[in-house]
Amino acid sequence: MIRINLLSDKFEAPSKAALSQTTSMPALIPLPDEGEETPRKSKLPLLLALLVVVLAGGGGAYYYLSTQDAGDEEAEAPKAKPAPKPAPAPVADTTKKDSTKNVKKDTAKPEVAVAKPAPEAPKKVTAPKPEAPEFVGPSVHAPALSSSALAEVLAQAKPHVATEKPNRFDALSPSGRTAYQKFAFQRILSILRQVTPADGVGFSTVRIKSPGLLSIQGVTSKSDAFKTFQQGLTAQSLADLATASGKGNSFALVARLPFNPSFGGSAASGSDARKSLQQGLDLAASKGLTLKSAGEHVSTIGGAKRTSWVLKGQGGWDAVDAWLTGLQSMANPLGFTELSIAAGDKGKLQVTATVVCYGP
Amino acid sequence: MARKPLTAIGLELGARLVTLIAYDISHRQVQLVAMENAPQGWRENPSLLGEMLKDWLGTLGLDKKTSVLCACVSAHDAPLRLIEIDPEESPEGALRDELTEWSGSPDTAFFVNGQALSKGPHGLPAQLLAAYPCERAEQLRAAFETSGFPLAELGLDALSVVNAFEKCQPSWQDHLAALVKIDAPIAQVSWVREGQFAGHAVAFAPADADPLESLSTELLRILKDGEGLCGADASDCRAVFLCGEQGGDAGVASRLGAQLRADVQALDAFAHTPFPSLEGNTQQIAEIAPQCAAALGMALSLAEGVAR
Repeated sequence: MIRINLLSDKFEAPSKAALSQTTSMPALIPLPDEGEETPRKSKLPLLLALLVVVLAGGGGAYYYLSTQDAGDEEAEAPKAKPAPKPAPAPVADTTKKDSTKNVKKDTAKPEVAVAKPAPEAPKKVTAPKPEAPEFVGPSVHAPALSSSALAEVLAQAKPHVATEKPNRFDALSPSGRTAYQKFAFQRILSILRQVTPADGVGFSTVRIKSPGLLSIQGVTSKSDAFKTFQQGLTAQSLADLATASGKGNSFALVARLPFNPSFGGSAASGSDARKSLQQGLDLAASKGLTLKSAGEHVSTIGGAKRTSWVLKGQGGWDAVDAWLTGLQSMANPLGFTELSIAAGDKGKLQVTATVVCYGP
Repeated sequence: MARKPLTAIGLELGARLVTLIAYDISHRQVQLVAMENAPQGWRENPSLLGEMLKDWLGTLGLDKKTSVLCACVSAHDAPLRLIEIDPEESPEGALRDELTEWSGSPDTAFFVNGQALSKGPHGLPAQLLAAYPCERAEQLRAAFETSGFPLAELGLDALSVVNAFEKCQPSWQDHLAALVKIDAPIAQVSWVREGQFAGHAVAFAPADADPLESLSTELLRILKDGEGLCGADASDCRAVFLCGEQGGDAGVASRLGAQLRADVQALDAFAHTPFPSLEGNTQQIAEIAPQCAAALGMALSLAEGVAR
């Protein structure tokens, strides 16, 4: 037996640092969008941290510059403006010394000699409101973020809301419906084959209708066998079981497969409808089910093109089961509205299927 | 004292289907087989598997306390090589060098594993090299943690089918055989010589063509040329066993059978493994057996490890 565990390194478990480095490393053969998906998640904390740093830096810079600009105006005023505002108001005599000091200081600069508004100020009784001293600062500006950067960060920071699975068949998208139909039809057929006793119950017609209705007409020769059959259907979650007895031990039975929101079917769409049909027919042929299209009907529902075909042919139970399974695994966009299986010639089953496809 | 697990659960994480085998370790028989559609795009984002596994494993009624779980992933994009090693060289160094050369990435990006095999084509000791990106392995581990069933081991499907083959086809162990795992649009060939892994090759079908027909053509070329085969001639291949999602496809078998001298047949993975709950339903077993080979191989190897 070959036993290799790839959850850890056989020789040496890589350190966490090494592991974190791997997040940005490319895979061997990159799968579609792989390079985008995983690193994006790992970069999220980094981007958030970067955003916080940029905002904090920007805020700090704004505060610094706003205070600096005020000082800048005052300090630059003597150079730029001929009459700067009298800085601390030289109203009282006590301030005269200071003002003279200022004047003396300012007189050192040639520009200040021009600006002498101070003598008028003492005449005023009410002192002008002191203004905050302003300073000159280097004109530093934070580099502007690109227009999409903030939106991208916010979009990534937005918590991913789990999309709720539709809890009704009607709530599914067209492609989701066809995927569910394949799942339901295959499941019903599988249950039917599983619980049918080898002896004592025979079917003349089996019909499965979308989204998961089963109706059977048949004959039973043993009441115990029929009871076991009914119990088997119920045990396999076929609900709303109803039966009716007729002449000559004939019976009719109806049951329903409850909608399963987590059926897991992958919705397939986008390919050409006729091509999808041909693929489905080829698959049927490869499984031993000879089907032919007996009619096509094209309609438009909610803006989507819907094509349906009636397919008729012959085959065995295994072939029908394998066909449904194959359509599921191939992610073929065909869906079913009805599947009828009836007794045919030479022990073969007469199969009639109404298939639908949404798309071009 | 920890109780030994009673059930080994083997999972194959396919692109479209997840296949599960529950194997009773003490009675050496299959308890349960189940299949479920895999979430679309899980290979790119393994975390998508978490919720699906949680729901599915819960509904199957598996007992968390008495079960141990392993899974295998496709080997089509993982380094899986058979290399010869100079006796004076350390296996680890040789494997890491080979990995770096193969992938072009630092070997720290992968979890590297190796297993000694018999001698290679040039008479030197051979090593099987297998690796998987650490990041994806950790994502898978996390997804299984979400499900409540922690992942004990992670393997590669191309090796798991070899394990299944060893169990189910003992009479072919003395010959050269090719195990073809078809999961359209990808097919993998695992060569087995005298019961040992002897090489690996991958075939891809173009997107715009019929996948099974294209894969048949590509597989014919690989099987005739012996692509990936080490230390043997492809003309000596006596049998081709088909497995995987499309392993039971009659069309592929007939196309290959018509062109090859080797006997082409579907791999009956349950041939020597009892499956009491489906006893008597030979037809049903025959249909699902090729699809279950990889999951069964994982369960068997895990069960063997647990039983030791």
